[in-house]
Amino acid sequence: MTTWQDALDELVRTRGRALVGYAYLLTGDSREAEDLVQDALVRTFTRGRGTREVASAEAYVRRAILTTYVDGFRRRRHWATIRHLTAVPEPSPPDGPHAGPESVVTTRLAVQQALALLPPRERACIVLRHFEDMTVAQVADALSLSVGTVKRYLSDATRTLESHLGNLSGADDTPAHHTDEVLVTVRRSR
Amino acid sequence: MSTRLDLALHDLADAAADTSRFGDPDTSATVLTVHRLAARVRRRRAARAAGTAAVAASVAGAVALVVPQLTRDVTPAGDPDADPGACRSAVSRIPSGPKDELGVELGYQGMSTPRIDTAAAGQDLGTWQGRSADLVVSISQIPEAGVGATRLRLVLTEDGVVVGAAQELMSLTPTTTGEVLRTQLGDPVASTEDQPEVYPLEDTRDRWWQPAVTSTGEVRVAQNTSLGFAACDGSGQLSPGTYQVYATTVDAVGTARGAAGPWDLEIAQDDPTRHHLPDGFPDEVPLIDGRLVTAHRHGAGWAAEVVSPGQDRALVATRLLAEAARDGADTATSQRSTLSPPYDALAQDSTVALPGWSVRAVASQTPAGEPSVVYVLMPQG
Repeated sequence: MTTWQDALDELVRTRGRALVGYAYLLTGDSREAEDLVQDALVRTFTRGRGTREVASAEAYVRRAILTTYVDGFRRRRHWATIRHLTAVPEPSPPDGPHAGPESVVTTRLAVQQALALLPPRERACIVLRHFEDMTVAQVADALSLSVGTVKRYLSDATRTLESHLGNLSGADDTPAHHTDEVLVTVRRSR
Repeated sequence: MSTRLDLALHDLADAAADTSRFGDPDTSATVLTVHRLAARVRRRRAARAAGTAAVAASVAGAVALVVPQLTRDVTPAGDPDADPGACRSAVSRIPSGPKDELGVELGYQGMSTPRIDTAAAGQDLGTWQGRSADLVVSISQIPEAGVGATRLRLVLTEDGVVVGAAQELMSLTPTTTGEVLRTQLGDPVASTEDQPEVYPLEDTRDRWWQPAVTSTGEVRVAQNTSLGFAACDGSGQLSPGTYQVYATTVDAVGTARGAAGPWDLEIAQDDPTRHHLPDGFPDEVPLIDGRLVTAHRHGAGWAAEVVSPGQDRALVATRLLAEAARDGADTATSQRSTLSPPYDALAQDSTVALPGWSVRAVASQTPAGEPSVVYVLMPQG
């Protein structure tokens, strides 16, 4: 039978970097993302729920990343105290199918900096809704919030992001069916 | 034109994942990362189990009748006849009631100012390849109960059972951090009133005070001590693996009281390696076990780097060199003068003279962050 140590080892090796990518969306800082993943791994495997199988363990770790970030990590980041220091670049041209790597990087930077403007709960809502493809109800359940609160957070967050990125497609509450919008890059599964 | 938020988020996450070294299966740093994570999990599980046991005891109304004990029910094995804190005893049997409180911060000797902390702060004691760990310790509180603690005992445990131990005499009279900083470490700014109190270990020829910092940046003073890896039952060296270190005190009548810990400590696996060295690299220079990163000409000499996990890797590497020098001297008396004396007490980073070569082994890190030993070989005139 697989021990929790084996599952931890396999999870770190096979999904560690993907988890860091997910955490990065929340923290906006690589080092903090790695710390957040490690804290979430320790939290998950200490409780021992679902930690014998990598797939189920990953789901628990993702949940722990989210709750750790929302509940405590933001206190360390002192988001409110540094918000005014966050530099926002001039609106950059969106990337397109014919865009070169420079424009992809430019858009990534712009999105990254716009995300940094969001308070933790708004940011978490955006990540769950548009990165994890959760419904509003699922987001509400994941964050232990009411559906109405999640809708408000999403609305506020979208307004903030659009004020810096221009029109966002796929940022409403309906499932995204992207056809004619400009692609940033080819989506890879992680 | 608009920005596709979902794809932009995936792109951002992918880029962050691609640039992270966390969990990279191709680096041995990941092995250390997993070990550290597992150590943190084990510590927290032990703490939770201890808390659960305490709650269970109080619910049963037994707390007034039973001396609270550490990690009860976590450590079923051990010799029931062994005294608490003694070899083969279960560490859970060390009395740790309110009057047995023991304040100990532990860390290990590194290349710079050591970090010491309580086990609860997530401190671990690193990975070791030699026969002992060079630790630093600061004692801020000793048990009130009993007839007075006179020795600090560090025990190595496996599955909650004591399998190794070392102890030192300590003073029952505390001094202050400020006093040590001022009188022992020459800090004129420190006040003798600066807290916390610290109970000194016996002052010996091989013991010294040094400043240390906690994970929260607080300054402490600590003393060096050594924890050997010989099994306490006389069966030889402890096998490689992760052990939990506890600190306890022993009073004048030999009773252990108070427990702090556990800190995790890893004894590294022996990993005999046949290095594929370039032509011309001197055969008489033994390299530490591990993955050879590079070996190349360096001026008139050579340089080599080997990935090796131990905190004591430079010392282990230097001892290997010294043993080769000693063996060379034993078989060729005429070359005895080439050995750097005293070869039985080599300091880390010291240069060892081998026939034709002056060799220095220093602890380093590869660009990927893996701990390594760098060798610099210079020809001897």
